[in-house]
Amino acid sequence: MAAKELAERGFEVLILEAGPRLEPTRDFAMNKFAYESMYRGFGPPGWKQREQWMQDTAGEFSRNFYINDTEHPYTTDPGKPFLWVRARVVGGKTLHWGRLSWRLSDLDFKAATHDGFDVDWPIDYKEIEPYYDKAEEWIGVSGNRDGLWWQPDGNFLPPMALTCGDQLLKKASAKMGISLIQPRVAMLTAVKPHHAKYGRAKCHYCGSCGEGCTVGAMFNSLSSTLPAAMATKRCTLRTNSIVRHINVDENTGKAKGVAVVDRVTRKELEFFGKVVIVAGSTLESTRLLLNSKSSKHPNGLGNSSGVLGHYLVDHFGGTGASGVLPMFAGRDTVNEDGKSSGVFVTRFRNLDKATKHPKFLRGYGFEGGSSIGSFPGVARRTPGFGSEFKRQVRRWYVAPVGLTTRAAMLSRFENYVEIDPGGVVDAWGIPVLRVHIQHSDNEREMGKDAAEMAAEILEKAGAEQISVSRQLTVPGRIIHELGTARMGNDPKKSVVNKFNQVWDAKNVFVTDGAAYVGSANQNPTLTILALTIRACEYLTEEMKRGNL
Amino acid sequence: MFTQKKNATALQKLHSIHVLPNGREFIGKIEIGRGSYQFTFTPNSAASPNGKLVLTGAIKVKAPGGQQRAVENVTATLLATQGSITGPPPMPRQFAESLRPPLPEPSGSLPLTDWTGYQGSVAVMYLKLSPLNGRALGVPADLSYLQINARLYSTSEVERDLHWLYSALTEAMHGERPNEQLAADYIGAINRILKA
Repeated sequence: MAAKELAERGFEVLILEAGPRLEPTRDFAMNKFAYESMYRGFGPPGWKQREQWMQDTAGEFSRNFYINDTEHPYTTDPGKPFLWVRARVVGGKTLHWGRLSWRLSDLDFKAATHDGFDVDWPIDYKEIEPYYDKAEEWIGVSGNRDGLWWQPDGNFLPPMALTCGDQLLKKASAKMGISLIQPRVAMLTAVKPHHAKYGRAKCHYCGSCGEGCTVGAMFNSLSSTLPAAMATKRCTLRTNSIVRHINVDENTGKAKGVAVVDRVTRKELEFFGKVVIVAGSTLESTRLLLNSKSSKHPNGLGNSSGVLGHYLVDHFGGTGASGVLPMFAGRDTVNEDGKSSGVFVTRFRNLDKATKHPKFLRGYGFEGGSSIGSFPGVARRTPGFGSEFKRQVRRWYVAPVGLTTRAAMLSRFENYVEIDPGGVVDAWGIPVLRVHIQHSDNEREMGKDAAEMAAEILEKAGAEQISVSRQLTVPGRIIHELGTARMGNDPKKSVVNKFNQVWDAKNVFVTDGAAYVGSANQNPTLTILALTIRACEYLTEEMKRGNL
Repeated sequence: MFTQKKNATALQKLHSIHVLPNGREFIGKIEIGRGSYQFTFTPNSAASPNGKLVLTGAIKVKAPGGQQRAVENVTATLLATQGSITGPPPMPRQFAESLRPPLPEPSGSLPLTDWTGYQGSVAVMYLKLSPLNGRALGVPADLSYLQINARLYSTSEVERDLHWLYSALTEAMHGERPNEQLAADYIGAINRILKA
C-alpha cells in the first residue's frame, strides 16, 4: 500500500522483498481439490514437522506462500512458545489472510480512558475515518451497515448472505442481546472501475482463498496495490532482497539506506534513499530496527525510549464451542463452503457500565457459523467404524455449527522481543529474535467467559452434541502479532509518532502492525492499511516542506 | 533515487544448517553452490559447564562424490531453544520416577494456554559448533561459525527419549524454576543413551 501511495504521489520507490516472486498459474492452487492429490491436501507424511512446523496454516497447496522454518529461526523461553507464521514472497501474508476488515472505534482507540489500563492511541476515530474510507474503497469490502457504535460502518460492497444455520445463530444471539453480523470481508461482491482496471473480478465462491486467488476477488497486494504501483513506472521491485539493517548518517542519525543480502546469491548490497519505509510485518520490522545499531542508535534504530520490542500482543482464540444443528441432520448436501465468511459476533463485554464484566478488561468477539465444508470435521469425533460410522458422518456432516473466540490481549511491557542474547542467527547470518510472551489472568478470565457464552449461544440456537473448548491458543496462533514499535505522543514512551514516523529518525516510517498500541479484538489489516495511507500523505507533505 | 554498491566476498560463510535426529545422531545437508554434502553430528557425551548444555562428538561430511571425512571432539553448545506447538513425547517408561519434573501449581478454574508449562516441549535446539575447518572436511566454505538448528522431530523410540530429555533439561536449566539436581540427572540420562 505504501509503494502504491508514494509512487502515485510522484516518488521513485524501490520495494525490497525478501522472498521470490510467485507465478499465479504455477503457484496458486485455487482450482485444485484435495482429492486430486494422493495426500488429500495434507502433504507427504512428516513434511510439515520437518520443514514448516510453525507455519500452522500452510497446507499442501499453499506451502509456497510461507517461509521454511529450517532457514528462519527464532527463540523462546522454555515453556512459553510463540507461533510465528511468516510469508516471504511477493504479496506476503495478503496472499492467505483471513480478509476480515474491521474498523476500530474510539472504544478501542481510547481504551485506556474507558478502563484505565495502559495508554490511549494518539489518534481518535474521527482522525482516521477518512483513511478507512480510502482503504475500504481501494481493497473492496463486502458487508452490511449494521449501525453499531462500537463497530463503525463503512461504504461496503453487497454482503455475502448468511446460511440457514447462521440465521439460527443470529436469532439466538439477538435473544441474548448480542449482535451477530455478516463479516466484513475484503472480497469483491461487486467490481468497481478501479478494481477492473487491474483485472480484479467478482468472487465466484470457490472457497479456496488461502490457496491463492487467481481472479483477484480477494484483496491481496499481488493483484491490487502492486500492479497499481508498477503502473506509475516509478516503482521498482527487487525480489530475494533480505534487509540486514538500516544504514544511518552518523552525523544526523537519519537513515541513508539499507544493507541487503541477496537470498539466492548471498551477495551483500547497499541501497540508498531519502526515506525508508519499514513494512516487513510486525516482528520482522522490529527485528530490523533492533538490528540497526549505530553510534547514534546504540540500542537499535528508534529505541532511545527503550520501548522498541515491547508491548507485543496477539489476539487469542481457542476457547469456544462447536456442535451440530439437529434440524439439519441428514439433509441434502448443499454448496455452502464457497462463501468462506461465516458470521461475526461483535464485542458485547465492557462496552459501557451495563455490560461491564467484573473479572476482565476489554472484550472479545466470535468468528464461526454453520456451513458445510469439503472436509467432514464431524468424522473426527464420531465413534465407530464401517458402514454405521459412514452413515453417522453423512447424517451430521451437513449440520455443523461452531463459534471460536477472537479476543483482545492486554499490551504489557513484559511481553517483548529482543535480539536473541545467545547469538542465534538465520541462514544469512542475521541475528534473530527471542520472543518473551505469555497470557495474563485477564486473558484467561476472558477465555473462560467466552467458552461459556459460545456454548450458551449454540444451545439457544438449538445445537446438540456441544463440545466446549477451554484452552487459549498459543500466542501467535491467530497471526495477529501487533505492537513492539508502538505509536504515541511521548517520544520517551513510544517508538513512532501518530503518523508512523520514527521519533529518533524522522525519515524512517513503520507502517505495519508494529505501530499498534492496543490489540482491540478486531482483525488488524484494515487499520494498518488506513494508517499507511495516512502516513504516506503526511510523508508527502513533510517532504514538500523540506522536513525530511 | 537509489544506487547500488557491491562488496567483494571471500569464501562463502555458512551460518547455519538444519538437522534432524537420526537415533542418537543429527543429520542434515550442507548446500554449497551446486554441491550437496551429507552432514552427520554424532554426540557421544553431554555436559553442562557454565550452565549450558554442551554435546561433544564427531562430525562426518560426505562429499557429492562419496568421499567421507570426519573430525572428532567437536563441541556443540546450546545457544537457545524454540518452544514447540505440539505436546512433548511421553516420559520414557524405563526412567525412574525421580526424573519426572515437578507438576506446576494448580491454576484453578482458569483456562491454560496451549503447549505452555508442563504441556510444552522443545521444537528446535540451536547449537553452535566449535570452529570447523571447511577445507579439512572437503567443504568449500567457511565453517568457522556454524550453527546447527536441530529440529527435534522424533520418529523412533531413542529419538523420543532424547527429545523428552532435552526438553526436560531445558526446563530444568533455563525454566522459571531452575533445578540443578534434576538437570544433572537429565544429563546423566542423556549420557547413558549417547554411550549405549
